[in-house]
Formats: sequence, C-alpha cells, structure tokens
Amino acid sequence: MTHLPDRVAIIGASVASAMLIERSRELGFAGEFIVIDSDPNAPYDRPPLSKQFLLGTGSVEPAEWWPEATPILNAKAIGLLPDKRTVLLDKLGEVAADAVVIASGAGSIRLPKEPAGVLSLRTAEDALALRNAVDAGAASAIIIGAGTIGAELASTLAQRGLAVTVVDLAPQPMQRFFSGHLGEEAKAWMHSAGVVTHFGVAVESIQKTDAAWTVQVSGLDLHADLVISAVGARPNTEWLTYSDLDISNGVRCTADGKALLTSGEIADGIFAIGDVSARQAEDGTFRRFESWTQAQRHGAALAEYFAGFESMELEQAPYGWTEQFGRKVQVHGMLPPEGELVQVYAAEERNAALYRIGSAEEEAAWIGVNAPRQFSRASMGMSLLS
Amino acid sequence: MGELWVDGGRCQGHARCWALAPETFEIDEEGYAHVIPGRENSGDEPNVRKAIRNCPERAILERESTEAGEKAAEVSAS
Ligand SMILES: Cc1cc2nc3c(=O)[nH]c(=O)nc-3n(C[C@H](O)[C@H](O)[C@H](O)COP(=O)(O)OP(=O)(O)OC[C@H]3O[C@@H](n4cnc5c(N)ncnc54)[C@H](O)[C@@H]3O)c2cc1C
Ligand code: SF4
Repeated sequence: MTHLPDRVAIIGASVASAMLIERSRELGFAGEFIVIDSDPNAPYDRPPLSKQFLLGTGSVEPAEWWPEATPILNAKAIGLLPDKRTVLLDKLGEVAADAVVIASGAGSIRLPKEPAGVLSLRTAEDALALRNAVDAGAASAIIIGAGTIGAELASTLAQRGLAVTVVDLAPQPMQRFFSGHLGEEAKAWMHSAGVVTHFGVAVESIQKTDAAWTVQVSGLDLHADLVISAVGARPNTEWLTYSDLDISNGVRCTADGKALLTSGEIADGIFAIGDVSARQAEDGTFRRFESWTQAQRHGAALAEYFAGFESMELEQAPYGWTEQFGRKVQVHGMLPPEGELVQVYAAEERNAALYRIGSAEEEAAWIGVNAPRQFSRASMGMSLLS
Repeated sequence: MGELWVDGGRCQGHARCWALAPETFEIDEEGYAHVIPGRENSGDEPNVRKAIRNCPERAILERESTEAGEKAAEVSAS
C-alpha cells in the first residue's frame, strides 16, 4: 500500500530531508516538496565543520548533494497545527500540506549562565566565527566538553598551533561515542598532541577579564583566549511547544517515524526524521541519534514508506565515525557499556587497531582505528585475513 | 547515467561504498576506494545508489550525467 502525499512540507534542509527527497524521486514521487529552513547558509554538511573547515579558507562547501530543482524557503517555523497539517512561519505566512516532516535537527546546548562571547559549534556561522577568531591570532583555547565534537576541535585547533585545554565532567573523552571504552587510549591521543586535559571536573564559572577568559573548574583557574562550549546538542523542538506533539526529548515517534501526540496516539500525517526524532525501540524506550548516517537512513526509510515499500534502511547497524589526532575512528553497531573490548588487529606503525565487543559474531560491535579495510571486512562478517 | 569515479582528494577511506556495493568498489591497501574497472556504468544499480548516498565525504561522483528527466525515469524503472 502506498501512502503517497501530494504535497509535503519539510522543516529543515539538511541530510535527513535531502535523502527523503532524493529517495522519493528515485521511487517515482511526482508531488511537491516545500522545504523551509531558517539558516541562510543551509544546506551544508556539518561533519566537516569541526574538521577540514577550520583548517581551510573560504565559506562552507556548496551542497552538491542537495536534490536538483528543490528550492528552500528561508523562514523560521514557529508553530504546527497537527490536525490541519499546517506549519506556521515567522514570515511568508503558513504552509498547509498533506504531510509534514519535522527535520529540524538539533542545536548546541548552552551552559547555564554562559556569558556572551563563549563560542560553540553547530552551524556554518558558528564555524566561521570560530575560524575568524583563530585567524585573528587566538593562541589558546579551553574546550568545555570532550564528546566527539569537542575532541575533534581539540585536534584541529592543536593542529592550528593553539595551546588547547579540554575539560569534561565525564571520566574520559567521548564517553558516549565509545560507551565508556577506550578512555585511556583517547586521552593518550590528546596528550600526544600536547592537549592538556582535565576529566571528572565541573565548570564552576566562566569569566572574561580584559582580553582573556578564566574558566574555573573544581577549584582550578584556567586561562585562554577562547572558550568553546561543546557540551552536546538538544533537539530543535521549541517551535513545537504548543503543537500537542510529545516532545519530551525530541519528537517522540514510532519506530518508523510517525510522530506521537501527548496522548500517545499517532499524529496523522506528521513525521520526524534525523537528529530531532526520538524513535521507539523494541524495549519501549525512545532513542535519539545524533548521527549523519542515521539521519540519512531516516530520510530514505520515510521515502520508502510513502512509496509503500518494506524498508530495510532502519535494520542496519548504526555506523559512526570521528577523525582526530591523525586517526580515523569508525564504530559499527551498538557498543554495550559492559563487556570486554578485544583487540583483534593492530599495526602500530600506522596507529591502527581493530576492536571487537560481544562474542556472538552476528551481534558483535566493532571499533576501528585507522583500519578501514579490516573494519569493513569485520563489520560485514568476513574474515580478517587478506 | 554518468561514469562513476571516486575523487581521491575527498575519499577518506570510510569503506562504506565497499561495504554496500562490493561489486563496484574496491579498497586499496591504504584504505582508499576505487571503482572496479569495467564497473564505471553501474551508477543506476540500487546498491551503488546507496553507496553514493552513504559516502560521508561525498567522494563518489558521476561525470556528466544525461538530462535529469531521463535520469529519474531510468532509476524508477530499475
Ligand atoms: C561540528 C559537527 C560535527 C559533526 N560530525 C559528525 C560526524 O563526524 N559523524 C556523524 O555521524 N555526525 C556528525 N555530526 C552530526 C550530524 O551533523 C548530524 O547528525 C546531522 O546533521 C543531522 O541531520 P538532520 O538532517 O537531522 O538535521 P540538522 O543537520 O541539524 O539540520 C536541521 C536543519 O533544520 C533547521 N531548523 C531548525 N529549526 C528550524 C525552524 N524552527 N524553522 C526552520 N528551520 C529550522 C536548521 O537551520 C537546520 O538547517 C556532527 C555535527 C556537528 C555540529
Ligand atoms: S565511502 Fe566514500 S570516503 Fe569512504 S571509501 Fe568509499 S568513497 Fe572513500
């Protein structure tokens, strides 16, 4: 059975929605997409912003991958009437459609009492402000938060010659990405590049004094030219506050992306894809991903649902990656926090390693460091030889 | 449909392409991807479409494709 709408309104022009549109067209969808985004630079890929972009010059790369002939309306969605499938905009009025797809992603979490001038990184504008500050001669930076983005920033800024200090409440870098594994290794990567780290510490205050910043962590005063907050992202759902959708932590959805009302019922014709959507897992809990690959799968799966296909997109194991300190790190599957990581391959001269966790080969999760070949073979269930 | 190629300047060796479409892509010793000779025209196969979309570096490109309309028709027919 197909569920093809004629007119689809999409909030957010990024990877999830690009894939929805492209895949829909591949499957023969002839209807209309009305795409709305408040970011004048959209669309662009975010992963390079903490990596290559800060090392280069010029503006963000134009999105060659944005589907052809798909204009983007530059406006901010400020409300949704689910039963009318109507999106209210800050300018240009409102948009009524047969289906509304919420693809509004996530935004940086700001620290409580964070003073103006503290930098963060989610948008092209943020990345440009950061690069400008470095180009203008900043010699040191304190990064608050050592998740993947904080760690990548530490790597990139160290490469640009800044003295970098990283602080985090967690006991190790990328606690969430690695599910608590590889903590000592990831710290050693930072230290080998001269990055100073403080783990298990709380930020007590952030102050600007003359030209420099002072960040107080667990009784210690740290000083730097820049302070960057990289403490995580939260779903962009403020605009849905009065919509009656369940937005406890992201837009709560069924496993295949149908948005739920606060009553627990499905909101007919309303869907959520990408970082903003919290999908129901088999155990009943809701889970949000912050992943480029997962966002794409959500988009492709929704296109397949519209076309009446049995989608396999969401059956695939999660894939994540990060690049830092000369290492390309890849993760396949859900890493359980418990259990032992077994190193199954190493090539020290290239800083390469492959780790497995979980014994049943089918369910195993893998972490590859500078080992794309071995990683891919392993995650495809192939032998590591050859 | 255009001729497939991997832009070596962009490819970072995620090997997603190889995982999704091993009949079209191969990975060299350093981990970088290439199109298997003779498979340059496989761009309309579903696995290959999937690989193109999933490349995190957007490194898999197609040289000069035919008109957009023809492209859409070809793909939806496959
Ligand atoms: C610096 C950085 C590095 C990253 N690196 C990686 C990585 O290496 N690997 C990885 O897997 N993931 C990475 N990610 C995460 C990845 O970029 C996201 O998972 C992905 O962008 C999610 O895509 P999305 O389509 O859900 O939404 P987003 O990319 O968040 O886009 C949402 C869009 O909606 C728009 N929007 C929001 N609210 C409104 C509104 N009310 N009205 C109109 N428009 C609105 C926004 O302007 C935005 O353009 C990184 C993220 C960042 C910030
Ligand atoms: S998926 Fe892209 S980056 Fe990765 S190996 Fe293939 S072409 Fe290269």
